[in-house]
Amino acid sequence: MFARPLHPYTIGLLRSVPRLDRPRDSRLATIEGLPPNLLDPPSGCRFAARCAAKIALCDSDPGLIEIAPGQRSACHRAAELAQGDAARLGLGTVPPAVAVAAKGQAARPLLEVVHLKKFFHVGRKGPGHEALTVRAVNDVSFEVYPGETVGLVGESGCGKTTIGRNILKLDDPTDGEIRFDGRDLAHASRRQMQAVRRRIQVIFQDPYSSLNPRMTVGQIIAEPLNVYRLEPTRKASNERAADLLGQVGLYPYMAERYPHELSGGQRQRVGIARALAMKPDVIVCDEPVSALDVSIQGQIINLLEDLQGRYGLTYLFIAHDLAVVRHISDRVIVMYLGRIMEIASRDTLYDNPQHPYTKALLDAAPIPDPEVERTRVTRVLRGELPSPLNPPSGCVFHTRCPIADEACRQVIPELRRVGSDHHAACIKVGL
Amino acid sequence: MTIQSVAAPPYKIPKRRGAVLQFIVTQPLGAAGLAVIVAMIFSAAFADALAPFDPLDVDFSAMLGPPSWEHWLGTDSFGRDVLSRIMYGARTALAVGFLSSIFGCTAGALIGVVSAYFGGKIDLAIQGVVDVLLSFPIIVLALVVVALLPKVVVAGIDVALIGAIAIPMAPRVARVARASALAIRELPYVDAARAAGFSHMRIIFRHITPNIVAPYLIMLTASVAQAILLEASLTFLGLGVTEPTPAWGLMLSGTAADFYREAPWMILFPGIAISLAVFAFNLFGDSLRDWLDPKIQV
Repeated sequence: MFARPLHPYTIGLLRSVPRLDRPRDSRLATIEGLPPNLLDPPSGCRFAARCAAKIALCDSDPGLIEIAPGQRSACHRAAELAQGDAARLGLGTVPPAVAVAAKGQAARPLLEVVHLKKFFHVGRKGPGHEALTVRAVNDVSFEVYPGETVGLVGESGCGKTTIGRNILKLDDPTDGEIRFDGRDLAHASRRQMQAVRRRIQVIFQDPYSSLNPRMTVGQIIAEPLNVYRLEPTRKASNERAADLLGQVGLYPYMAERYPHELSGGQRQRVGIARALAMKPDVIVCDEPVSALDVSIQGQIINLLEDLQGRYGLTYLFIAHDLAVVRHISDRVIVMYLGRIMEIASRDTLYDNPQHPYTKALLDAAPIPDPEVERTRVTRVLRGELPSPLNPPSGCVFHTRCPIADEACRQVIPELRRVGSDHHAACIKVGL
Repeated sequence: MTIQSVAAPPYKIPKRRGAVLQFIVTQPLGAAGLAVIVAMIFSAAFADALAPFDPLDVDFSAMLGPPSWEHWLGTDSFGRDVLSRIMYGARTALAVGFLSSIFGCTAGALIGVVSAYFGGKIDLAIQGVVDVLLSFPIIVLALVVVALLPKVVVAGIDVALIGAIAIPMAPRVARVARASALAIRELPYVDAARAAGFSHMRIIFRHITPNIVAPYLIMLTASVAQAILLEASLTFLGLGVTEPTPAWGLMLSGTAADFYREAPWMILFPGIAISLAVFAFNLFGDSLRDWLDPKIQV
């Protein structure tokens, strides 16, 4: 199946996935369009409307035909696919990119996170109860420059989402500073925040619960426009909402719909339109594609890149999928148990990872190609993620690190420069 | 827009049709309750046309008359027609029941949502007050409120009576509303509204409250049953509706107790009316809960 897919849909799905083992394409290949309405399924081949290799014969329903031993495909052209390469049939073409503004690194960071700490107190207070503290984010510092995309990766529970929530001031940091455009947000009052809110927006992971089910799509997008009087009249804000829907690849008539009438990918587009409505500078993308089908993932990532090119947006892209992060990011931050392990520009990090945790993460990511996968040596991380209630002493990674020794148990490693635009928090690296 | 071609045919999603019919088929008990409620509302609304007699019409020639073709449910010690008094009494019961439930549930729901949304010390303080109020038996709390509020009669209904029924109701509703709102507060769309910098008022009224409408409606229906019962109880104790207004609780009290041996119909039929009304609202409320959201436990 993976080595020799014989259906255009399978080929499309496989191509939608960003790959760690191949050079990064400028655009992700996608399966165009949306899955058809099951209430009114198309006659003939169900995939024909979205298929690049469509021929006249596709109007009749292809049965599942045995092409090779043990491999059956419901495609009229499966025999051709079995012989020649898919590219000849026009499959797996990459949609053209909208001109992307050249990304030059500005001198001054737009967003600075300085020694950020966020501790959660759990457990009961009072005598006989130990006060427990979850060190969700522990002394994290990084900068985000205007127009760039910074990827934030790590396992679940490493604090990446908490950092996003702190930047958005959905949670208040325990300690440290968050400077946006020179102003500290960590200690800003509600009134002071109000002025900045519009400039930092968010896209959430779960497209199902990120839209208010009692509001129509149009109301959701127009709400900030009306609240902040960004448009002179209601009519103007409705027009702008329709325009925004068009920009995120939806139809203006969808403004009348309620979120439950849309698919996951469509809802995620609505979430993006809502964020865009305020004309933000920074968008915190909290795992925006993790909950989506791979074919839709590619579309959303391409959309995010196009919008960045058009509006000069800055993204903090939080994800656990290394391949997705590699595709979209300019710089990547790797986190583990509330601390930064490594920061580097994208190509440096993926081509030349320094920290043993980063190496392990890259090794652990599966590649959807059986031939590559068979020849690859995978080193799997030993053990479980330690509890953030009681993080290991010294380097938090030492319990699972293949090269850790006694010194790692005692010294908390600082982030040190190990190359141009490349920092790692490991005492064993770059000595 | 050429970024992505989204080739969805503009089809209309079929609207959910026949909600009432679906309710009747899936919830037969609730439908039976609903039928009784509709009948009650109908007879209360058109009591002027439907009732065979004036409920205030005293007829000493027909005192303590048993059920007959003329007086279907008999007459009381003043010769007043019991059926007519029950029909007019339904007016009082429904008016008091709905008004006090709407006030009590709305106040309770708002208190619960505010408590859940702000959390922390505000939540703690509100929950403290709610707990204290919950520790009183409903009837005791209602008696206190009746005693404290001045008696102001609007359109034949005592405002103090409405308050006395609504106030013990509010903390119970606040509990449930708080639990629902706590779950909704954590949802990303509320985070999105906060990240957009919307005011507390907007988030509470636009984003949280509309999403607890289902539990609110369920509690409202159940509360009407409670309110009808409480109104009858207070009236029976002489603190609710007063003579000569026809009210079910009133028909059970006063001289009725003296005549129950000779004229059991005087108290039997108003008693059945109260039970039937409460039962109908409870049945309907339970079914509504199952139908709207099987997960909610009130």
